[in-house]
Amino acid sequence: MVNKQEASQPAQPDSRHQFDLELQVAELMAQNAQLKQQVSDLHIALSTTAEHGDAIEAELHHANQRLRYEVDERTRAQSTLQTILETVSRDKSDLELMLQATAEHGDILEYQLYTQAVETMRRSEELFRAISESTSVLMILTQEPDGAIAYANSVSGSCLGLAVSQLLGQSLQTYFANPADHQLMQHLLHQQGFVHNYEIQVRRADGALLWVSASAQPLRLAERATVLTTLYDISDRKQAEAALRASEDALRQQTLELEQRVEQRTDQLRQAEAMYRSIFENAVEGIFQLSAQGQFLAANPALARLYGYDSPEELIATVAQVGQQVYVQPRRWDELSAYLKGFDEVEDFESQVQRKDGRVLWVSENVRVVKDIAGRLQHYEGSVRDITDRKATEAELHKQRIRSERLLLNVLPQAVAERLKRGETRIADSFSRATVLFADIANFTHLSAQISPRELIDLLNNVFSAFDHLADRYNLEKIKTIGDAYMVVGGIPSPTPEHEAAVAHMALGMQRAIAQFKTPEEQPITLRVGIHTGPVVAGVIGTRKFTYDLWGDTVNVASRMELQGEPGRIQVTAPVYERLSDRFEFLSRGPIEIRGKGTMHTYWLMQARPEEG
Amino acid sequence: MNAGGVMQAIETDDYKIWYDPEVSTVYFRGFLRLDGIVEYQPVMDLLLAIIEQADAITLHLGELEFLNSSGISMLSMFVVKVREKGDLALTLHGSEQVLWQTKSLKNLQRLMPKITLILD
Repeated sequence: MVNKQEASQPAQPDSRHQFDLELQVAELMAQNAQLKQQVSDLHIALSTTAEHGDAIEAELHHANQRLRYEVDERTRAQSTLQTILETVSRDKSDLELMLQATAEHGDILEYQLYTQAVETMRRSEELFRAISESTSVLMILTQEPDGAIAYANSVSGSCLGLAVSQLLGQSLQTYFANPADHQLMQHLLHQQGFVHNYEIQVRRADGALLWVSASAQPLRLAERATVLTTLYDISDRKQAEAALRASEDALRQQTLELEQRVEQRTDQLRQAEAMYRSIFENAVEGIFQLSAQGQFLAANPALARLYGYDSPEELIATVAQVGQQVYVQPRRWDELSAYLKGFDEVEDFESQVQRKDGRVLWVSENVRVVKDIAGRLQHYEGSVRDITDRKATEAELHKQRIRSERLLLNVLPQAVAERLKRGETRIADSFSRATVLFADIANFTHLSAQISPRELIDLLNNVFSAFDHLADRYNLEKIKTIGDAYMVVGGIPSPTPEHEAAVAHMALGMQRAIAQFKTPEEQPITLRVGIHTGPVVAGVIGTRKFTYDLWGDTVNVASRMELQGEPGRIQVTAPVYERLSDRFEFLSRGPIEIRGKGTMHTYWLMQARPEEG
Repeated sequence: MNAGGVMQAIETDDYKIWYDPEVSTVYFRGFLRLDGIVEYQPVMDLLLAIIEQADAITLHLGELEFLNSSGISMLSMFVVKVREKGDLALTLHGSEQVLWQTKSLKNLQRLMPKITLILD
């Protein structure tokens, strides 16, 4: 623009002016050229700049693109790294936990094993001490190589005559009586690894020598080579051995003498045996030897004959066990052997035995136990007699006796029968008081005319049987029946408490019982009953057809009470009334004339008072 | 009953391990003191074969009186495998009478809190 303004200005009129103008033109042209150059430069510069800008721009774009891609890549890598990190830290935590679990587990095991090991060690040490202190064997631990004593049990001290503390640290070999023994034991220990029962002498502190049996066993204790040496005092045995040798000689001498004596004795025995053998063979009684199990060891010919065998040999061979093959009663042998075990011998042991042919015999045996020196049962020996005949007689006698006793008891009270059997011939006992009852069928004479003797006896039998039953029930003694009369007594032969009341009950019972019987014409049969109480004599007199009977005034008065009574009633005397009036109801009959007695006040027994039952 | 040909029991003088599919339980008994993880591999294989096919497993350890450290490591790794499987229920049945079980089984539970732990 500046160049254009300069070019449009008006030119000067003179040369100078022209020159000036020309100068000016030249200057302007130069300026123009310069401007053109500048424009061109600017163009160039512009285009250069523009191109450069484009290039830069393109380059920047490219760089930008690359950076974005890189950012993406980095982001992706970071996330991958994050995942890896997570996994790794998870694994790390797992591994930490596993390590911890394993370590703690190891600790527990270690603790447990350690505790166990310590406990085991403590126990084994305790055990060792218990053993070593309770044994009578010297137990000494020495440490190699010098053989110094590290441990010794208390027996070691007492045996060697020193305190245990004095032994410690000493060399064991100093107590060996013979130094060579120590060398030999060392040698054995190295050769075979142990020493067993090597007999040596040790020296006590007081100088005395002691025989011991030595054993040695190497050990490792607390990582040190150690030897356990045990010494067993055998001085007693050594002494015994010497004594034994001496006594052996003496014995040999004694044995010789004994043998000679035995020979003599054997001769004597042989003779005696021959004699006893003859007795045994020819005896009438059966003689036997039996084993403890019941088998015949020996039998004589008489025994074989008794049991029906041809020979003793056959008997011995056949009978394996007497309990099963000889005795009839199954447990008889057991009883016999049990008795013999308790008492060593038995006499007249009676049993039934079976012969070979099956016949049964009664035998009586005498058996004794034969024992050895130690008192143990060796066998039984004994003899047998046939007592079959005697047994048959005894059985018959027994049967007879039972029968006669039964008969006797029917006519006599048992106590009286016993006395007669014991040999009393006349029995007459006085009793201060007894209650006697008589009963009689009132219309008997009339009745006997009406029915046949047979029917009459049947009727009487029935009536008296009912009375017998009542007598048993009230514990009264029936004395007898005389025709149609029945006599019973209370209070004898054995004292009965309240026999008056028992007889009163009996009387009332008899009246009730008789009411059950009728004549063929359906008429009632009536009974007169009389009772009295007082002293009597009772007993048995005579030697044949004897009966138990009563005598005395009381009996007569009781009989009178019946005779002078009334049918269907029970007449009692004043003494009876007095004893029973509080328990039974009576009706006074008033005074009546009793033949041979004069006037008596009597009563009718009516019934038991309710409370009496 | 042999699931997929996998050994279902291992037995020696010292110990016995066997699987009862009826109750999905592996029983351990005796003294387990194998030398290192390598020797435990058969036991691990047995356990891994079972969890391939089961959705629950019980390890009955009450009669296992002794288990060494390699053994507990093996069990730890097994627990991690079970945990990674995700959908498997694991029960450890031990005994309070056996000292190591009271502590170590609880440590295993720390690897997988979902473990059911029974001590009786």
